[in-house]
Amino acid sequence: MNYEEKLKKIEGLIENLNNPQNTMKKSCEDFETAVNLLKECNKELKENSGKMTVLKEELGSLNEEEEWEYQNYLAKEWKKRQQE
Amino acid sequence: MQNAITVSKYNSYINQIFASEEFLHHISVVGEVSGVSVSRQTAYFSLKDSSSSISCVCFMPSCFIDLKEGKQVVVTGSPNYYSKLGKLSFNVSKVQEYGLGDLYVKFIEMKNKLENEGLFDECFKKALPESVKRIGVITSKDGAVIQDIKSVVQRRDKSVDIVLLPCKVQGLGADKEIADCVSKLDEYGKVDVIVIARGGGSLEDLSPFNTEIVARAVFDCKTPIISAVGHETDFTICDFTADLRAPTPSVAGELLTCDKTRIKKDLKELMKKFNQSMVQYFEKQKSALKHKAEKINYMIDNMLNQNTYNLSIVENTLKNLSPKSLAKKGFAKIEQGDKVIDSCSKIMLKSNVNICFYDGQIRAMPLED
Repeated sequence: MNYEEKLKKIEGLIENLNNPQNTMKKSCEDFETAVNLLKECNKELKENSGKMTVLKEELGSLNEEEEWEYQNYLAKEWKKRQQE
Repeated sequence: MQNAITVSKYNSYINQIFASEEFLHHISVVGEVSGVSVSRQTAYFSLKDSSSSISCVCFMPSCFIDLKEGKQVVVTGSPNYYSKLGKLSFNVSKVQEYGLGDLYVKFIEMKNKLENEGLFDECFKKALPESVKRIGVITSKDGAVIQDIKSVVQRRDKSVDIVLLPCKVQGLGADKEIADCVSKLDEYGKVDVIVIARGGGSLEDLSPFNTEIVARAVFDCKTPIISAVGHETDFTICDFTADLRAPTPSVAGELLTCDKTRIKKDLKELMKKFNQSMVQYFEKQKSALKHKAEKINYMIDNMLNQNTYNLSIVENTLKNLSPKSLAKKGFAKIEQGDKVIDSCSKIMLKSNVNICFYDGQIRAMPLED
């Protein structure tokens, strides 16, 4: 089950919990399932957030790195041509 | 030895002889003008016939107009012995036209003959090769001409070789030597182009290049030929027959080479411009990428914040729906069988019910009201 499916499931369980016709046992089981799913969602969100932060940092340094390499390449080529 | 006189005395004596000879004063002489040069209002030239020549000086600019190369003229003047150098010259005071000179007439006749035969026709002119690696030069080995050609070619393109076939470029037998050199270089076959070159000179000096033997050798040559004879104003039959005429030998060198130094300089400029364009292009791309990265960052942040917010709402909702937390507040759920009893009317009297608390349940028996 992916993140979105889990969220949908939680929403279904919340609807069940609002139903007064459910027995205490069923309500407790539904509640427990919903809490466990919420924990899983929270974990996934934190993991994804961490991944995104790393990617954002990489994205930021990507331009600077390429620019540095290109400037170096230009300088080398220029020197080579002048020696010729 | 006692009778020896000094050079000065000797020259003085000769001078007196010329001065006292009245026949030579204001005398008119017929001849062909050759080797005219003008410097500081003074014209120097030779007057020739088929077997003899005299040096002439003319201090009258009004006479210069008739002093044309190859022209037959009558000059009037007197001999002048220059004692200091022991040189005899003829001081010209008057120049009159006498008709065209023999050499010039021969030149015109030869030109017309070969032209009528088609030797000068454009359709026979061979194209010069686009890339020249080896130039065959026919000229004097000692003259300035070969040095001029070498220096021009070396300056413009060091990779081009010059093969020199030395020969006489004036005087008796020069025409045959030139024609032989053309044939030899053509047979050699390892030159891309042949240059026949000579510096400036009088019509007589250039006469070997106006001969039929040279014209036919040039015409028969399979290798393209450039004629670079004399100055810009000199025209020879060799020029007309060759595939191309260069005004001077140096120009021939220029025509056959590309200026590699100039090309290198142009290339460097072009490379500089290219590099600048590349830098500009990368700057533009970098800026576009940066903009996209910022957009992605914003979208990621937005998405994460939205998800966190949504999850917190779910969490709060769940907290409020916890069945046990409600029971902890003193509420209990009554169940009979598998049914939840949420109304008095639904309860079955004298039948067991379960009362569910947050920490357990008890069984009870509902009695009559």
